[in-house]
Order: sequence, then structure tokens, then C-alpha cells
Amino acid sequence: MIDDLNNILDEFNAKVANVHDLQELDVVKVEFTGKKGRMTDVLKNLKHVAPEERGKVGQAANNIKTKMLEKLSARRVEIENALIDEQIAKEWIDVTLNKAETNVGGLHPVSRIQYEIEDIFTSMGFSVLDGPHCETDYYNFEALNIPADHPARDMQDTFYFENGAILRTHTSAIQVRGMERLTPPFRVIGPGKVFRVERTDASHEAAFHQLEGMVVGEDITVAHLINTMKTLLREIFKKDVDVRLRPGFFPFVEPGFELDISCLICGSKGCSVCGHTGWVELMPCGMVHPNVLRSGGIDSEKYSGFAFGLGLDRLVMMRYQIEDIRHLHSGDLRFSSQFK
Amino acid sequence: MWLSLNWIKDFVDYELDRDPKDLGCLISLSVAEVEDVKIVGKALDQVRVVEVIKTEPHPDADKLKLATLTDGTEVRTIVCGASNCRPGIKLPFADIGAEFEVKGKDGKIEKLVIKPTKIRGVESTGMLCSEEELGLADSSDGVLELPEDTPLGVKLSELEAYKGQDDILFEIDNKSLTHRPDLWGHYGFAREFATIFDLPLKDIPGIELGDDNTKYTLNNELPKLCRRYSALEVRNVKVGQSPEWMQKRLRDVGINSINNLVDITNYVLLELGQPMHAFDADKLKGDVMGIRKAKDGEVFAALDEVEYKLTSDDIVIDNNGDAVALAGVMGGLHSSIDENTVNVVLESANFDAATVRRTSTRVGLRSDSSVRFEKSLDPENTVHALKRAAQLILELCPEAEIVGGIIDTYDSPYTKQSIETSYEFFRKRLGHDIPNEFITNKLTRLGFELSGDLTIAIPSWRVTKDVEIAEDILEEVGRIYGFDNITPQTLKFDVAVAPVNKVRQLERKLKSALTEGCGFTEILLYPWMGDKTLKEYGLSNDGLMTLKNPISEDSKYMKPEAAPLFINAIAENLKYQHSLKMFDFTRIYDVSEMNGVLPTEKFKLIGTITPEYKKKDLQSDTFYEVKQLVQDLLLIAGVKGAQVKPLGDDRASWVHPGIGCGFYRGRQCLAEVYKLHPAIAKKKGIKHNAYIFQINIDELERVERKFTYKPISKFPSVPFDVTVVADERTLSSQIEQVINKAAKKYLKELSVFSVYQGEGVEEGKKAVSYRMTFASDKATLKPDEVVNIQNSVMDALNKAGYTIR
Repeated sequence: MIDDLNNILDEFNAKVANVHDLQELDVVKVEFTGKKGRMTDVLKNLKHVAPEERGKVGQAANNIKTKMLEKLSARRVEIENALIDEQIAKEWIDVTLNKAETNVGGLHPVSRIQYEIEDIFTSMGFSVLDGPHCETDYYNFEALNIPADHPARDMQDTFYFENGAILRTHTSAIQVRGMERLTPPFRVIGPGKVFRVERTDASHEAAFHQLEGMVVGEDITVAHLINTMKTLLREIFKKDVDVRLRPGFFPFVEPGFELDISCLICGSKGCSVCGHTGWVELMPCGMVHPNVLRSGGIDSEKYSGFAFGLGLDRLVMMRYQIEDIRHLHSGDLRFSSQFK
Repeated sequence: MWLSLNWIKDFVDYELDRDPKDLGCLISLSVAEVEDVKIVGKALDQVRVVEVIKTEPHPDADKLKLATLTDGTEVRTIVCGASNCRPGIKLPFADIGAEFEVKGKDGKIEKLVIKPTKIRGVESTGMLCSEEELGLADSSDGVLELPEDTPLGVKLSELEAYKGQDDILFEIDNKSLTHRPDLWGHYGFAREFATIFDLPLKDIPGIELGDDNTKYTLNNELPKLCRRYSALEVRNVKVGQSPEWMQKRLRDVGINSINNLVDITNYVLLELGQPMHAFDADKLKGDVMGIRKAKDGEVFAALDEVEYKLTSDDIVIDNNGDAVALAGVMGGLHSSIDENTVNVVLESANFDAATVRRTSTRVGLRSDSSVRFEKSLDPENTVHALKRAAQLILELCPEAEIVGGIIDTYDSPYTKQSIETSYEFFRKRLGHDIPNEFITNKLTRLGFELSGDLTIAIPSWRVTKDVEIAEDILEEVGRIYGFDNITPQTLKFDVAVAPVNKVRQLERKLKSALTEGCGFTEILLYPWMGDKTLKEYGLSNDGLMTLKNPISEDSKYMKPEAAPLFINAIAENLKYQHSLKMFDFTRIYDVSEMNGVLPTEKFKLIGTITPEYKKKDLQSDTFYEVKQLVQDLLLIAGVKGAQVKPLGDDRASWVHPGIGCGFYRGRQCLAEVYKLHPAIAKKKGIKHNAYIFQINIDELERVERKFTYKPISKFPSVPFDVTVVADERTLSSQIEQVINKAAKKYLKELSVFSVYQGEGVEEGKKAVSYRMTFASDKATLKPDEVVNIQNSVMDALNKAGYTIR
């Protein structure tokens, strides 16, 4: 009996060694260890074995079956590993190929800068206002202390409509519209397109972008204005920039300033960008003229405020070294798609 | 406007205590913007007088010659390129080691040091100088020839004619003087210097005039528009060249010398900021100088030899019925000074700013006078100017006879105006502690009179325009103190939530979804268009916002629709791109809803997916891609379940009649998706299939994105598929409606998983397969309940005329 068992085991080992896939292995498993398998036969036939040998043979048979099962699972792992190796050997792709399209596009650089600045201001508690492009003479000039025949109108080459309306020449037109809706204290910005009759060239455009800002409250001072501008510029340029305030004339502020920043191109040493002065004119600002506060229905005795205007196109051009302002409104993807 | 530091120093004893550039910077910070600083005449110290003994041709260059020079002690031969270099002339010579500052090609000042050089093989040690190189002129031809009697060997700066030539010039940005009538002459700047540096300011120069009787009288018909008219008769002048010192001053600040009389009027203009005019008295027919309105159509022959047609808005100076000057703008040709002039009438007037501005704008003449009158000049200054002019006339032509006194009409003289304020006001508004003494000292030097605590009287040269209220004086204190010296202070923060701009928030959400998740790129387009574009797109110009002064005919109207310019941009971009994914967030100007003279401006998000061009490709997949995109964008904007309907007959001319849908909420159209109409595509040269979407942002603004949560169902759901055969142009939305109605609350999901046309389906029909999921919220559906729901769906579909397979 024991010899028979050993023969079965030899036969089993030989078969298992020749098996190369999992289905065949299952066949071998059923043949030897299944309910109707060879080992089951052996155990069934134990009753024919002499009683004194029965225990020994039975034990041997069980040992062999256990061995077989162990062998089977070991072989299974081997085959599975071999299959994975085989799959790995077959599978290869050119991972350097680009076959799908990108899902990342780009904001227009003007939007990008505008949102960046909006975020700086909203984090400082400002809200964002909009105003119409088509404006009345009142909001663009009169209410801003620029009466008809004021020489300041010379600086603003205005587009006039046949019906008497105009295209706003500055985002300052938002000021009085804003004040009419708000009660002090408030801090607002108003970004948007503005328009001037300009012969277009690399640095002049008839349609461009500004961002207006205004803070009104009790006891707002020039010192507040300077601090706010410095904070803003530090955030925009991500570093401390030198700032200087020069007297500047704008009828809607008094006192009015031109704010210059140290030239970032040459580090204030003087270059063609800053006209060899080391300074670049960046934004007009000033304390809101009492007449303008009154136009907006605000008590100019009780409240004071400051306002500023930032040319966004200039910032965009400085940031990305754009040589020609006409690219901005070109609608040309060769330009816009560079800002992904 | 150019300023000469020497000229300013006539009135204030300022000694240059810093680099000229730093002085320019200080003027910029305290007074007005300095655009350029020029140092002139410094080179005169560096050159000496030589005489040319002989010249020979350069052996190796046609245009060069060898010049042998002597300075009286030494003889030297150098290479020279100037055509006027010839034996016998005297010239300025720069020896080895001389240093110059010359303007390079880019306008930058560069240092030039004279060194021995070989020019085409010949050694040259030194340079003969031109006026340009010496800083005596902006440009010059050839080397500077000196008079024959000039002594040899001396420095140019030691010659009488060139003494005092070194100067520092500042170019002031005129725009920054818009509000400062007092700064249009050197004297005004001297006052600023006196204030900044705490120096005494000298009186305005001039001579006192007697009251001999001039025959001239005045007749001012327009006392409101000509607040003051002052004039002075001068006899027996001799017209000739001005002396070099005067020519140089004028030249340095950019004015050409004409003759001594004209130069004097210009000199006074530049010194005191008061425009003057000189009439040739012998050419005046009458003795009455009148100030009147021009007659409509009156023709005026001006000094520039152009005839101008005037209107009754213009002011003219009248003599015997003739207009002899266009007030504040230009004098007349027929009464002008010439070389034979002997007797003159000098005019010094104060004209209305707005009138002069309108006249000069209309006739297109902006003169040195008109730019000043536009600024509302000080009426007190007319007489100062005449006194100064008289002084200069006597200096330049001692034989002249001043026929005093000044004839003057001045109906509403300057009266002192005061502002009540307080020292505290300045400190409070500037946010900085500035001492009373500083304020008093500086304002006094600027000409303000301070009294009490605190009344400030405004000087005549500031009251016409610039200073009206306390805030205006605040600027004076601030600029002289230096805004840079104010300590910045943080805003006090009120604890309040800033209101959110919802349109802007929506704009940014949608743009960020498009650019960061869907691969779109943003473009910006102009807001205007012309008749050509309107016509191409079948739009009328009727009632559109129309510009009176457009940049071009193509930019005359504010766009009433977003699509035309965007489609043009599609066509343009396809010249360089294979495919497009781009958008513009723009405004349209809707004139159907006018608000007074203003149109309603509506925000539109317009975009396209234009896939690569392939022949015989319907690419309806792209349509569905865009449609899904819009659905997703609407969801982001908070819109759920907008109704999708084919665009009706009111669709725009550029929409494909069969491929276009709108997203509706009630009757409001929230968005559109369509294929570009083939006719427009052809017109624009677009062979690609362009799919366009537009979202009407204003319709979405009021929607909030809301979420409703239901507990996750414990009861299993049952799937059910059904394939419906219908006419190929049946809308799926109609079939879905039938299913929805029949399955009622049990229908949890419904989707299309296949649309099939071809073998097995009748021609003109399509087979649409729907997958449904049924479930109850209250219990597990029993098998017979499921069968009931299935049957009612199929019955309903059959009843609606569809075949089920």
C-alpha cells in the first residue's frame, strides 16, 4: 500500500512539474486530491488493509495528500508569477508620446493681473464695483469736478456718441456711481475697460484697462493713502518697491499725486524704460475732492477719503515684458495661449 | 517748457548745493514734473582758441583732411572732417584729456574723453569742436567759427561772448502745470525755490512809468471775457538783433530769436508768464484799441500768414474796425513788427481762459500765449509785464521813448479772498504732525497771508483757478513738507464683511472652469464694429450707440451682439491654428433697453470649440461636447434642469438652422449652443465646423447654487432597458417626457445609451435605447410592481406612437 502511495506521489510530482497553466493545474488537483480523486480512492480502500496496518497507511496517505496540497499551491504561485512576468514582458508603451489634448487653457494676462489685484483688495476688505462703458458726461466729468471747458478735459481725448453720451475715459467714472449706492465707511475698487481717442501704436491703445480704488471714512489721511499704496505694490510686485509721491493735478482729488515706483527693469540705475530717471510713473492718486464727495451725496465735512487709479495694461506689459500693447485686444491665440 | 537755472537765480540767491539731477528730482517732488535735466556750456572750459594754418587732403580718405593748427605757442596737425575747416579761421580746440558730456543716439548723456587716436592711419591728437559738441546748439553744421579778432590760446569760457554760458536746464511737463497759472514763467519757479530753500525772493523787475499822455485809448466791450487790458506806447525804437545774452536765454529754453522787440515780449512771457504782443503803431489806423467779439465769418490774417475764419465766439482786438489780433492766440499780419518799425503799442491783457481755449482749439493754433491764457492768468500781472518790458526796451534801445503811462481797463480788480481753516486741519488730513511754524513760514513764502487761527488770504496769482478751498492749501503744505516725509499709517479696519460682486464672482468661476478644466484660452476683443461687419452678419445699424469721433469707420458702433466679432476672431485664428478652444467674456450694448442716453450693457460669455478640419465629418460629437459643457457651466452657475429646445425662427443669421439649441428657464434664454451657419462660414473663409456657445450672464446672476440632500435609500433599485424606434428627427427630450410621465416617482435615473440607424432599422427611423432605474423610497419594489411600472412605460410609449423592440 505504502508503495502504491509513493507511486501515486511520484506520478503527481511528475504531472505537476509539467503543468504550465492554472486550468491544467486544477485538473491535476481534481485528479489527485478531488472528491473522486486518486487519494480519495486510496482512503476509501483502507478498509481492505489489514487492521494493524490501517493506522500507518492512513497516516501516510494523509501526509501525502497534505504534501500534494502544499505542492499544488506552491505551483500555483509559481505559475501566477510566471504569467505576470510574461504579461510584463509583452506590455510596453512609448510613454513619451503625447496623444491626448490638454485640459488646461489660459486666462488673458489682463484678467490674470486684474484678478490678482482684486484678490489683494478683497482680502483687505474692499468690494468690487462695476460701471458702464457708455457713460454720461456727468459721471465721467461733471461729478468729478471737471466742468466743461476745464483744461483737464484736454488730457482726456474723449469718444463722444451722437446722442451725447460718451465712452468713459477713466474708471474714476465709477466713483460717484459707487458713492450714490454706498454709505461710509466703505472701501471699493472698480476695474474695467476705458477708452480714449488715441492713434494706436506699440504703447498707445484706444481701449485699455484701469482699476479704480476708493476709501471713504472718518479721518482718512494722506498717511493712510501712502500705506495702502505701499502695501498694494508690495503684494503686486512680491517685494518692497520704492515709492515716491509727486504733486499731480487731477481735478477730482486734492491734494493729487502721481505715484512713481523705482524702475524694476534697471533697479533705479536709469534705463530707456524709465527715461534714465530711475522712476516709473505708475498711478495717479489723491485725497477725494470735497466737491466729488458732495456729488456722491457724502458729507464732506464729516468724511474724507482717498482714491487711486492703476493702469492694468502697463502692469501686464511690465510683468510679462510685452513689447506691443496692441496684442492685448488682438484676439490672437498666438498671444493669449502663452499664458497657460 | 524749459527752465533755466541761471534765469531763476536772477530772482533768488540759490547756490547749487546738489547734483543737478537731484535738484530736478526735488522739483518733481515739490513742484512739477521734471522730464529732463540738461547741463549746457560746461565744455567751454575745456577748449581753447586756435587758428588753422593750412589744410591738406587726408592720404587715405576723401572726406577727411589734415589741419595744421596753432594756439600761438604750439603747432599741431590733426585729422578733421568738417567741411568748413579752412586756413585762416579761428576755432575752438579740445586737447587730449578734455572731457565732454554729449547726448548719445538714445538721448542718454555720455561722457566723451579726448584721447590720441589713429584715423585711417593718421594719428590725431585733439578735436575741433562744433556748437553741438560744445552744448551751444541742439545741432550744428561743421566746426564753430570764431570772430577774426579772437585772441589765440584762451579758453572759450573766458571770452566775453561766452561768459555765463554754463547753465542747468530743466524740462517741465506742461501737463503738470495745468492748474498753476503762476508757474508759466521763471519768476513763479523762483518763488518755489525761495519757499523750498528758505531764501528771500527778489521783487519783480521793472521800471516805474510816468503819466505823459499817450494818444491811445481803450474800449473794452467785453469786461467779462477780457478782465483787464493794459497797453503801453513806445516810440522811436530801433529794430535789430538782440544781444547775445538774451538770444542765449531764449535759445536755451527753446525760443528762436527774431528781433529785439519780439524777443523782449517773449522774454517777458518766459520770465513772468504774461503773454504780450507788440503792434507796429504806424500800421494802426486808429487811436482806439477795442476789445470786441469777432463777427461771424470775419476773416483774420494772422502773423503766420494764414487767414482764419472767425466766429462770434472769438475775441479780437479792434483798431479802426479791423481785427488786429486774435485775442490770446495770435497777432495780426498787417500790424506786425518788421525791421522798419519805429513806434509800437505793447499789449498785456487778461483774457477769459475758456474762450481762448475754444478759439485756439477751433482754429488749431496753440501758441505760447494761448496755453498760458487757458490756465486763468493773474490779472495783476499785466502791468508788471509792461513795466518789465519797458525796462528791457530801454536797456536794448536806449534811444527809445516810453510814452507813459499805462493805459488800463480793469473793471473787476482782484480782491483778497480768504479761507477759514485751522492748523489742526492740515495735520488731521495729512495724518502727520507738522508744526505750526512750518506751515506759517512756507505758506507765507508762497505768497499766502496768514492771520489768526487760521485765516489764509490767497495771493492774486493763485486765486484765479488753483486755490479755492482749504484742501487746495493742504496740497501746498504737503508738497513743500514732502509727501515722502509723511509716516505711512495702516487703515483702521472696521469689522465688516465686504459685499460680494456676484457677476464678478460668476465671471471668475466660469472662466476658471473653462481655462483650468476644459483647456480654453481667453481672448479680448474690441467693443466696437463698423457697417461692413454689421452688413456681413445681417445686422442693422438702426439706433446703435454711434461714435461721433471713431478711430476708424470699422469702430463706429458699440457692438449689439457678441458673436460677429467673435466669429471674425475664429476666422483670423484659423489662419494659424488647426483647432480652437477659446472664449471672450464681453459686454454688448443693448439699445432696445435705453436708460436715458445709455444702453443696457449685458455680459456675455461666448466661446467656441472648433475641431481640426476633416473632410466628410459631421462631428456631431463636438456639438454634444459643447452642449454638455454649457450644461455643466450652468450647473456651476447654479442652474439645474434648464429646458433644452431647438432654437426657433428668431435665431440669429449666423446660427445653423438644424444644429442649435437654447437653454431656457421659462421664457428666458440662459444660453445657446450652435454650429456656425455654413453661409457665414463660407463668407469668412472658415472650412472647419465651428461650434459656438454663448451664456447670457445677466440671466444667471440671480441664481443661487443650491443643494438638497436626501438620505441614501435602503431599498434596492431595478434596472430596465428599452429601445424605442422613432422618426429620425424625433427629439429625445420628447420621448423622455413620455417615460418620465409614465414612470412617475419610481423613475430614479434615465439615460440614453445608444442611438442606432442602419441595418435592421427602417430608412428614416432611428432606434434609441434608454436605460432606466426604478425604485421606491418607501419599500423594496415587489416583482409585480416592477412589471406594472415597465408596462405603463411601454404602454405610454406605444400610445405616443413609438415602436418598442
